[in-house]
Amino acid sequence: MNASVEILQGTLDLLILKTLALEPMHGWGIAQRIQQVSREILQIQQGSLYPALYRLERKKWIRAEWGASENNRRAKFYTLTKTGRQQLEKELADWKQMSTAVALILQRV
Amino acid sequence: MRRWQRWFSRKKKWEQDMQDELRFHIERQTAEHMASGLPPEEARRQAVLQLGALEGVKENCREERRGFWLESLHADLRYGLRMLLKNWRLTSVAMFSLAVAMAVSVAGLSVFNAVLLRPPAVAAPDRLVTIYSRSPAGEFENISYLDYEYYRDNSQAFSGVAAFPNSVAKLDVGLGNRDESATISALSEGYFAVMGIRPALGQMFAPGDDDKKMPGAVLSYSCWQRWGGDSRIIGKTLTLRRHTLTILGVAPRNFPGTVFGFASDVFITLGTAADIFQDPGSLTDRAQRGLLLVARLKQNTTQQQARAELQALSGQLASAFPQAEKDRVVVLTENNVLPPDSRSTAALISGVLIAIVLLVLLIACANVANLLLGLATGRRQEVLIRVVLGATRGRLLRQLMTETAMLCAASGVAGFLIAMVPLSTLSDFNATLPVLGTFELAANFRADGTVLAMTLGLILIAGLAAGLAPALSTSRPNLAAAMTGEIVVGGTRKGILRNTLVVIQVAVCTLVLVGVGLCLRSLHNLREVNPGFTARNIAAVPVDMQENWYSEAEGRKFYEDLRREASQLYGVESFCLATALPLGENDWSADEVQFTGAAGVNQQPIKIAYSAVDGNYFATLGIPLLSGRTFASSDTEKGPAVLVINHKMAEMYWPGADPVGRQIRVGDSNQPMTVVGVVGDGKYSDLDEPTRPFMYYNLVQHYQTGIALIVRTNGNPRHWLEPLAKIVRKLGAKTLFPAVTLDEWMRFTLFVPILTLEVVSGLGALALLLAAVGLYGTIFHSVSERRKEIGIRVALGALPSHLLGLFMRQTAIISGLGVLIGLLLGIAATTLFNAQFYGVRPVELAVLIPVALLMLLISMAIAYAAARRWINASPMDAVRHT
Repeated sequence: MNASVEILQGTLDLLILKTLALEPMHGWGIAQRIQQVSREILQIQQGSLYPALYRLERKKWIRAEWGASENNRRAKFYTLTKTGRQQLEKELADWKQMSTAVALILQRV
Repeated sequence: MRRWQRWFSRKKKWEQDMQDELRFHIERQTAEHMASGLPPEEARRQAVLQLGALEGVKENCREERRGFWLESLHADLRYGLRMLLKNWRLTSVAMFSLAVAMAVSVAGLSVFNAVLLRPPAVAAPDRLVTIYSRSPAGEFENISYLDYEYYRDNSQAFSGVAAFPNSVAKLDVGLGNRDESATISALSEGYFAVMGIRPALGQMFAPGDDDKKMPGAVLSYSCWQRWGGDSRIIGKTLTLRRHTLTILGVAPRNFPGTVFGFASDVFITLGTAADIFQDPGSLTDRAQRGLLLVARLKQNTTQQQARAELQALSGQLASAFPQAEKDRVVVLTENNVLPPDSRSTAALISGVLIAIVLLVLLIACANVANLLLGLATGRRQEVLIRVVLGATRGRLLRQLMTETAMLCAASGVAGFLIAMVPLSTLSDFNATLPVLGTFELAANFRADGTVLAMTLGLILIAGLAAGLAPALSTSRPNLAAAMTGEIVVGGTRKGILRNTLVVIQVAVCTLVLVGVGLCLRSLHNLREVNPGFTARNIAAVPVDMQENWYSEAEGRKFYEDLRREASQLYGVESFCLATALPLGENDWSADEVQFTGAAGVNQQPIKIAYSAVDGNYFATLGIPLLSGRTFASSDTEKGPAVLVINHKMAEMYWPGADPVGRQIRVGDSNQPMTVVGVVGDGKYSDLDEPTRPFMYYNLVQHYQTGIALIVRTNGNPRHWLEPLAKIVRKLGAKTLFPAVTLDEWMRFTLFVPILTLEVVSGLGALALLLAAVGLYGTIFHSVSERRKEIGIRVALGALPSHLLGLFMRQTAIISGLGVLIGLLLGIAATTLFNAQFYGVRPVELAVLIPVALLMLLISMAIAYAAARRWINASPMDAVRHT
């Protein structure tokens, strides 16, 4: 199995927002999704996921609602808000710029 | 109440939701693991492990909740208050130390603020500048009236220029049919307009009032209140030395006067002042530089432009009047409450004062830090439990700092209030100065926004200084040691921190005590100075001829009457008349002296101070006659002018020769004066002045308007004060100033060093008290921490004297180090401020050794008192007691 990678400081917010851009989801689902999509490379520290969700909720980038989960249990679902979507776009643009720059440097050296 | 409930229920729901969400997560993860084939128990275990420490996660989530910050602050405050109240003994000692130090700091800062920082209470003070002149020798000098007129009329940079003498006078003012003693300030007619001071009542002076024959006066607000506060006073008249002045108006309440620190009662114009003081030269003589100038810059003029223009104007003056103005530079500075020549002295004095005050504050902070460390010992268990329950270090720090902040804030407020009481009393203080009379002081030491801001800053700094180190050390508990219930034996990190604090306290305290010692030593040296005369059994009464409106003939007759009365006074061994008491004036009248004949070393005229005296002056004051004679009855008013000089003058201008019989010329007069005698050197203005040339004129040949009758009595001179005053009254003369003994007068000349000593000693006592409290607390706690060890040692047969010796030795090392550092700092400070102390060497062993011994003795006594209780405790108690 591939060695897993710790998520970079500060990128957790971006990953959460991106994951929620597809559909509303509960905390556990977000963690699973990130892991799956990254082909098990990215391992989320589950303990730090929930404080991050509360932080994003406080900033009004995501909204929480209680609903029924896939196995029919009461679960808290998070939805991306309008400001959250704007924030996602901004952070994505930043990220792209950043990764291009880093890539350029790495190619040169 | 309803809102509070709603908030509470919402908080409860939030907590429930958070727990539900986490439980769902664990369940979901468990299900996932079970699906991949793990047994239920193991699946759940894995799920919990993956999430991490559950309580920690919850705590992190809670910290993200809205309003959490405020809520935790509230909790911290409540908890902190409870902890402080629980340890009320430590809390009150810490609060007392800090509050006292704070009070002293606030007082120091207020004085500093009033003297150096606060702009004068006038409109737009930043556009005001002060103008003075610098003599060819580079000394600060004021400006003459004629020069002032020239600058006022020819400068373009200012919207107005005003002038005032930097002095006040105490005179009797006739108001209706009664006499009132009042402080008089003179100023140019434009002063109020330039300063932007609006009248509270009536009007101020108008342009041209300076030269008017029918002059007016403006009252200060406090004077107006004292005289009844009736608005009909406008237009009434008052008399000043037989001059009648019309009361034009009343100045506003916030304008105390022109001279900082003195409350004026009556303001008169410069022209009126010249009349009243019979000093027409103050308006017409270019060499009489008695005025300080303030000017207001025009809207778009800079200081540089104004300075350039003034330079040009003073250049014109210099070429027009080379005799008076050559090489004289005009200087322009910011306007402050203090005149420029006293500003640097004031800055130095306040600087040293503030430094000492801050050192006292430092000791108090070390005290609080120490007490907090002591508090922390008792809280080891609590901190441990908190850490185990998932409290982060930051959280712990925040809580501990909240407690310190509460302590500091409470002490700061208390200190501020304590300081306000003496400051507001001092601001309206009546100072009675011997000979000079009673003056109302008007230095506004009251706190304002600046002082408040500086106090807040101090509280903040004190909080950080006192709280940070203990909080850092407390929040890093030694888990392993604490778990086993072990009490640390011997040196720990906390011990080192504590000892450092003690070293700092002892060092600072030593430094302050060295300061006290230096002041004492300096004062002692000043008292030991040989003033060149005998102050024993001397009493004097000053009389002003002008005040009594005597002409010269009347004055001379009054002299004779005084001499006759004095000669008939019982118990008077010797008496004389003289212009002033020795050490009396800071500016003796000085004359330009030209030495005639070949013996004159210096052909340039030179200024030498003089006094006009009777021939008996020298015998009365015990000034030794070294050569020649003093004045005799043969030296008549119209006879050849004679003078007596001091030894220094003889040595400087007739080295190796006898000056008796030589001649000099004085001032513009063509009459030569003959030296008839040489007397011993003395001190003329200050006890710490270097020996300087001085001459005595014959009072008979130099009529003076202000004189003093000096008598030597055959008993306590205080008993002659009333008879002397009676003589003056009997002769029908008024005197503004009471009779004094020369001893009192000399004490007054030491007013500043004595006041300094009192202030520094007060601060020193405070520093010592605070350091003693801190030292006791530290030693008490460090010994109590080792009580288990002590118990074991005693059980094993150690003698109490043995253990006591151990602790005393440790204290001796720590405080010895502190004393050593303090002494080195003290030597550095002595070197730095050597000029401020009289006759003090950089390494003044007479100060350093007693201070060092005192500090060591005190710390040993404190160590003994603090350690004794634990050493004498029963070993069983000590071991069991935890």
